[in-house]
Amino acid sequence: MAENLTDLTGDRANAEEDNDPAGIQSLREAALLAGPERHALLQSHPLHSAIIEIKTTPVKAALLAISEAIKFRRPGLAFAADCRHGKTTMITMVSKAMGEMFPGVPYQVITAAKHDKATERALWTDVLLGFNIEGVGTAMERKKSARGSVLSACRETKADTFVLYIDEGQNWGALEFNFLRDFTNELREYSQLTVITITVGDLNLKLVAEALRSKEKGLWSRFLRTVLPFSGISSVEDLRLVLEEYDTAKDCEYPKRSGVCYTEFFAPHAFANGWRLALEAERMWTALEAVATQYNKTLTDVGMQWIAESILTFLTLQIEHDEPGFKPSGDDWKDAVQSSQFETTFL
Amino acid sequence: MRIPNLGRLAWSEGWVGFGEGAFTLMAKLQGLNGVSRSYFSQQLHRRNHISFLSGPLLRETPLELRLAQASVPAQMGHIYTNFAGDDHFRYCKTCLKGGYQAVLSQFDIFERCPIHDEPFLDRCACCGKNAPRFAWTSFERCSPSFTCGHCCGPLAGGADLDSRPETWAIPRSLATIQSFHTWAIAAQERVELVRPASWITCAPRPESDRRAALARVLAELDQCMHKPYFRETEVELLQPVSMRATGAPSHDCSYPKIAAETLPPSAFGSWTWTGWRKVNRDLAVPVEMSVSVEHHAAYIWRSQFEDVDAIGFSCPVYQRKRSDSFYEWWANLPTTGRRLFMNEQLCSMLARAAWRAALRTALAWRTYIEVAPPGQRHIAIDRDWLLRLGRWDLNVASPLGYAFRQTPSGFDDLFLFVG
Repeated sequence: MAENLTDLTGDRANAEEDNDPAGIQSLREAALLAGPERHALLQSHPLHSAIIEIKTTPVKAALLAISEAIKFRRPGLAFAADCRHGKTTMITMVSKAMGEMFPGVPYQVITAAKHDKATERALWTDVLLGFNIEGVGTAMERKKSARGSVLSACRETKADTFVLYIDEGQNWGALEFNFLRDFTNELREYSQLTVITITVGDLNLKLVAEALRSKEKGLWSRFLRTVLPFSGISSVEDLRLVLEEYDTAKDCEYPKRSGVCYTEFFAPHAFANGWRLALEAERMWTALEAVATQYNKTLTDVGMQWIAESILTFLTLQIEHDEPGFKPSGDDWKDAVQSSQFETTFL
Repeated sequence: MRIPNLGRLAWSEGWVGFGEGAFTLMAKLQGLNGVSRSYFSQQLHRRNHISFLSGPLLRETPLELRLAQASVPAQMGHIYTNFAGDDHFRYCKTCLKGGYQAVLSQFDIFERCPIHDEPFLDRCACCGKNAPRFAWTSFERCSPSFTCGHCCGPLAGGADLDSRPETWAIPRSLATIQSFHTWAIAAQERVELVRPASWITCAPRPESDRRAALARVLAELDQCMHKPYFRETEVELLQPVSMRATGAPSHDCSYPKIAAETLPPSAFGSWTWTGWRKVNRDLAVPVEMSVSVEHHAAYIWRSQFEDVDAIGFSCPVYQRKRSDSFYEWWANLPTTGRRLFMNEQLCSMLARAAWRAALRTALAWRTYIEVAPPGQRHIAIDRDWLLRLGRWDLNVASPLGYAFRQTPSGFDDLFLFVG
């Protein structure tokens, strides 16, 4: 499984700094002590801009399903999720993890764009865009480039399997999947290559699957026969697991190699006295339930986007209240959840 | 891993076979990507100076592919351009049916494929018309292809390779190709041994003699090709002449004075001072066949680097050196090209070092041998001194690279010596 992303992309030349106590201490002071350095670090904190990749329970379930699909060469697997549940982040995490678990299996993530007119040329344009390959010429020429790309990827690793992750799969219909089927069939027939498609889309993907099942059963069977739900956070326990990630520097560390987790960065004094974000799981979940209750809804699952934004708002607002005896209240979380506009989910 | 690409075109190192010529590499690149042949050629010609082997795509070539390009004419430089006798695409039918062409097939000295023992062809197997020319100018309008331009059939017969990458296969047994290229690259490097910076110490023999000599080399090589190792054959392709300097810094006029002070007047001919690379000084050396021109040139070559350190090189390029020895720095340069030689300080330093080396060598000759008076040819050689001079390793790799093609006046750009 993918470990700390910073480990994957960090500068190996700085490995010695990891064991430099003086350097680490210096980084910690810059991050935690009030001053211009901390202010600058606060402005550039990854919570503001970067996508937080946390292996939540749904992500782990997706990893397991996809790894089985690759291992047993199942032709197609799909995931449908509501908006702002972190589908794209899930694809990113899963593709990287699968790349490490199956290093000899090439893969690529593409995005199925919505076109005013569905054509074969538009399809291959999307594919080549995702492949980062020049796409010029007719539809057949672009298809040839796509085939050459897959062949080259498999040639590079001497593999006979290629994994294609399709994001926003709900934008494709029978036409696109038809072309894709022909493409994969040709690769299998002439090059003995197996293409595994992992399609991820919003809840409309289920409608696409249903439409294919009634009219193009072959396509449905190939690509969308198994549409698994990709849920958000659906319980306090799951939420607590997410919050615990913020409390450890393993995946949520800033600055890099400082040992300062996100929680400690925003509330150093409270953190030093034993306060942890994971302790707020109940209060946060209560605040989320309150929003659902307002609209006479039952809280089933919450998208990771809402969770992340609520946490960011909470941590940011509580900076000025950071003290050894820090004790957030339910209203603090109510304000944070309200600020994330979670209520729009029920509109 | 993700989709490998070469300048945003689908590509993989797995398509490259050792010793493969650029023709089939380019044909594969075009075959993998659904761009028209004319568009493909246009992209390669986008920049001002495009050569068959330095187009923008190949400039973005990953290192591995560049290494594979060691088999193509660019790396073989002198050898290819001067000894490949056939401008048309030559191929082994069986090799090309898998989309592979060994670049050594372009040497007309080779008549049969060392892998399949089949005759090399330079015509289409279907219609019998000439195969495309193995030159970039042939591909200005459309890229190389496995298809005959006359009959539109596959050049080697069989399946259509252009649209069937799955049929491309690199021959399994490339040991013979590797042996040849090991020799070819070493021979290419040795060309520079007889062309130390600013010095010419030998002249080429007549072309017929050179080709005959190379044929002898290759014939012996052919016998050894099936063995993992082979002894290089020493072939005298050059004849010694007096040392002649072809370059000296025009802004430094001290060398003639130094030379006049250290060498006897009889060692000098007349010289003219005409500026950079035009200076002509003849320093007489004994013509003795027992002293190979390679040895002679190697001594000067090696010696000049010792002088570089002594001079105290201050060129900014040299400042970035990674070793204490200039020679090591020079030998470890990943590439050397014309740009490096545009550095006046560097060239000036090299010229000065070469001069000092030449002077020292000439002095050594004078010390240990008797310089023949004009009209006399008999020279006595102190062979112990020769052995002591042999302290230098003759297997010095020349880092001058293949862009250094400054042709001395009056000589062909061909000095090939295999030793």
